[in-house]
Amino acid sequence: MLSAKDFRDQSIKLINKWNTIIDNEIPWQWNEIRELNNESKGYLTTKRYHYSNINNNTNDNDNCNNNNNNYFDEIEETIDSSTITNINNNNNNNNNNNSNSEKNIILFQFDIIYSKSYQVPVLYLNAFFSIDSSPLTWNEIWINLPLSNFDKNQQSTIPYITQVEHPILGSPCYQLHPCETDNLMKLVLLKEKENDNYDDDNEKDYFKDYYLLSWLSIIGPMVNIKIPFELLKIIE
Amino acid sequence: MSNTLQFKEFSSFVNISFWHELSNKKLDELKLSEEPIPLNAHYTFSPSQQLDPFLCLEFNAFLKNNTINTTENTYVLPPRSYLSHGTLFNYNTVDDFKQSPKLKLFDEASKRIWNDIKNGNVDKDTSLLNRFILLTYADIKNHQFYYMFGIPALLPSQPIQQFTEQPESINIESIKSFSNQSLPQYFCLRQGDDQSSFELIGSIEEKGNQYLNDCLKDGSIPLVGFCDPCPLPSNPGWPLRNFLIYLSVKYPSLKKVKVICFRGNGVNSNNILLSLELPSMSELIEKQQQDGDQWSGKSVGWEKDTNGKIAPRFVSLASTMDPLKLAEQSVDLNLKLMRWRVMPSLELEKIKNTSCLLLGSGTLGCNVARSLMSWGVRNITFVDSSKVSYSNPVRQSLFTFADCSPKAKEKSVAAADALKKIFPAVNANAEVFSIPMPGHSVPSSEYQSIRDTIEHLENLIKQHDVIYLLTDSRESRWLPTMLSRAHGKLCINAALGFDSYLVIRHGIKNQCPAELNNSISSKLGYEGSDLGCYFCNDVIAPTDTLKDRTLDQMCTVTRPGLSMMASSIAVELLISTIHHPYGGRAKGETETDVYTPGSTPLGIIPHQLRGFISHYQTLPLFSNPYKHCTACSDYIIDEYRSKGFHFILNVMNDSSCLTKICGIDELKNSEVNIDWDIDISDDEEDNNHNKEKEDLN
Repeated sequence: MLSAKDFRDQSIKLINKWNTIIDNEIPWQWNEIRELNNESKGYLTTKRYHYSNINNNTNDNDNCNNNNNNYFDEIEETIDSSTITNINNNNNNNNNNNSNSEKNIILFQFDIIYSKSYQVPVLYLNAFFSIDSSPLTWNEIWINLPLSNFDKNQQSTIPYITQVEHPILGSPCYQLHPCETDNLMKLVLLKEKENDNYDDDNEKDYFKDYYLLSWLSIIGPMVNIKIPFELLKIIE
Repeated sequence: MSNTLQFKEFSSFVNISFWHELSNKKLDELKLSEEPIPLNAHYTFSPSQQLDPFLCLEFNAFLKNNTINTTENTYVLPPRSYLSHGTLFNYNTVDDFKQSPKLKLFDEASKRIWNDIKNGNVDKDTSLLNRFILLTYADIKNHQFYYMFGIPALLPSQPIQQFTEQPESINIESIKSFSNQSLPQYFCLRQGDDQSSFELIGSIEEKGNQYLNDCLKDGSIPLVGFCDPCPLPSNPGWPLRNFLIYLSVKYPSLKKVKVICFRGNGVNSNNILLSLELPSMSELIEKQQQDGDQWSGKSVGWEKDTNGKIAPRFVSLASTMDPLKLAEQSVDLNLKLMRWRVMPSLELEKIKNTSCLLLGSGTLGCNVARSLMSWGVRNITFVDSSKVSYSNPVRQSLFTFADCSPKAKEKSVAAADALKKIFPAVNANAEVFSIPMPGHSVPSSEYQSIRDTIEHLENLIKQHDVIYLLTDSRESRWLPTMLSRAHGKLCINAALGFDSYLVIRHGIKNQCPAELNNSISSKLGYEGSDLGCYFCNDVIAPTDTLKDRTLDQMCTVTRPGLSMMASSIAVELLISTIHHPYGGRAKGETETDVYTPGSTPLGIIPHQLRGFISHYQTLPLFSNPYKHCTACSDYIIDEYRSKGFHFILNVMNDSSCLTKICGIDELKNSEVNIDWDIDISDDEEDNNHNKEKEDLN
């Protein structure tokens, strides 16, 4: 179990460390939203990109704009030699491979929000094709997460993904269900206890201070968030 | 042309959270207003060479940058990100959107940038160089959005040239020094003695004027930098364009400039140094003065669609925002939770694809339907002939008072409607007719309509996988029992007494193909088996039991909780059956020790369950099919197969013909004594049957 205050404190610490160590990734951010009752709700957020497992998604017709072009007039713009001509302009050339690879980049939005009822951090996510920021469906998200490989073995401790409302923003998003999180964390912490049971107080500190990071180090790899090794080193 | 500097355009990245916020705003605030709305977007360093520079629009785009009111949320830039000022033009209809003055709006945004440069606003805030317009049509009913981004870059009269062959890439280590401070969007710096080390002087706002004037004085080429979202090795990103215009306008005598495109401190970030000749803006400025002090030059920066055309982009969030689809997904995922967490072998698809025919839409029908729906069954057909009456809604869980007043609805129709109200994705259908019953004689004038009814019922039975018998009388169960048997359908029967209930699955006569049977039986160690039906324990034919009842007997005389218990068991029994390799042919199990595993992952599959609420007991029982049964025996099925409608008509008019056909009459006459000895246990059950006062609704 983690308290809301600990979650906030650890998040801010984590952001500072992470963003200092790693600067070639989209940085982490603490978003704080003041609600109508003047209460503030904060959460941890970042984005990651990832090459898709989907074979040049033909299934995005729904979300793509191709079929709607007929309705609209094209706009003519001044020809500008100072703009990089887009690869897509010269269709059907040997550039196709290039445009495909771009099409297959997926942007993941990750929000980590504290759950009052489970008293654990919960991961919320959304995913978009980078080409046109159209959202991925549940299935597309699922097959693009390393998580789905774990599930092949039907291991019951693998969290699964459900669509929910974003607890703070209210927008639709997906959630890694938190029902096993506490058990998982207990397992992690139990090991620590067995290893050194001479100093009870220190042990509790360890638990409190690195709950979020320990949790993220388990959840992260399932959803393509790489945990920088340096971050773990600093703790020692 | 080879040394013309080429810039990389932004790609818009619009988060779902922005569309969600726009939908809410449209509903609550904007309504039909088409007034322009200020927006905030940001860009950051690109984390990968393959990733386009993104202009991000998120939930907080509508928040103001700085508010005096402290209770209001303000727009907070993410770390290492930079601001772009936007204006949203949201149109009410697709035609308004189509006909919007796009070019004019784009020009106006360009003019604003120009004016900010001219009147000195940019000196104080260089982020004003980054502007965009967003035109949208939000079809919030269908969760579809059309949009166009314009990110104007003012064009000088001649393209900007580089005076070196290639941009130089710069040593990353030496720039690390300003990694820990947040870099301003545009800044000036000084090259150290060491060729590869740089020192930050300050932002353009703070130090730009002094630094650039100093450079002009001593004739040196100034060195400026900007935070560049573009990762490409020889091209800068869009934010540099208007900045160069700004420098050319503000310092007309400045001819050359070196620009560092700073791409963050990452290992992979390719910081580059550009050596540029600044364009002369004098021509444009003169022209502008003639045109009444307005920007009259050209500008570019419409975002292309995925085909490279300047046309609206389209995004459909129906799958993520449509409440109907949301409900459907959540229901499925909730069931998957059961599979993930508890029972990996749960056959959700099989359950989902099972179609159920519910004969009777009273208290049992309502509760069975609800339980089926909870399990994810999507195809449910109700059959009932009566209307919802005032006494019904309290017990029959799909009805409300409104179903009986002002005009009573047909029960099956009301039940199907209620299911759809609860879960719109369900495929619920209603049929209004009464099931022909033995002993309820048919006048010759009604032959044709009865014939049609029977045919209709038979078709329904053929079309569904499972037949639930949930009617209020004993004899109405006869025809569907016989027809289900004849067509090899799984038939589950639930009946209520005052404080006891019976749930029974009838046996299926058609056996599995032999080879399949062998392969399953070798695995399970037993073969599939036939089971008795509801009528197998009777030695009398079903007859008109309604005829001589008094009014109080016609009403539901049963403890109210029973219906829910019996209904739940009737549904769980089906789900267990679905999970058995033999399905409806699985033998009836009677194991009551909860520690002994059953034949399915869900436990045992009983043949029938009898519940006694007086002692809170439920017993799994088993009986073989009775070879002289009045409903499921071969005598009856064969008779039906050979004579069809005429056989049924005979039964309707005189049910005693059943006992004759199946040979019970003969038995009664000749072997009565022997029969008594053998069937003591059956007798007990008979007593139970007779005690059953059946649910009349």
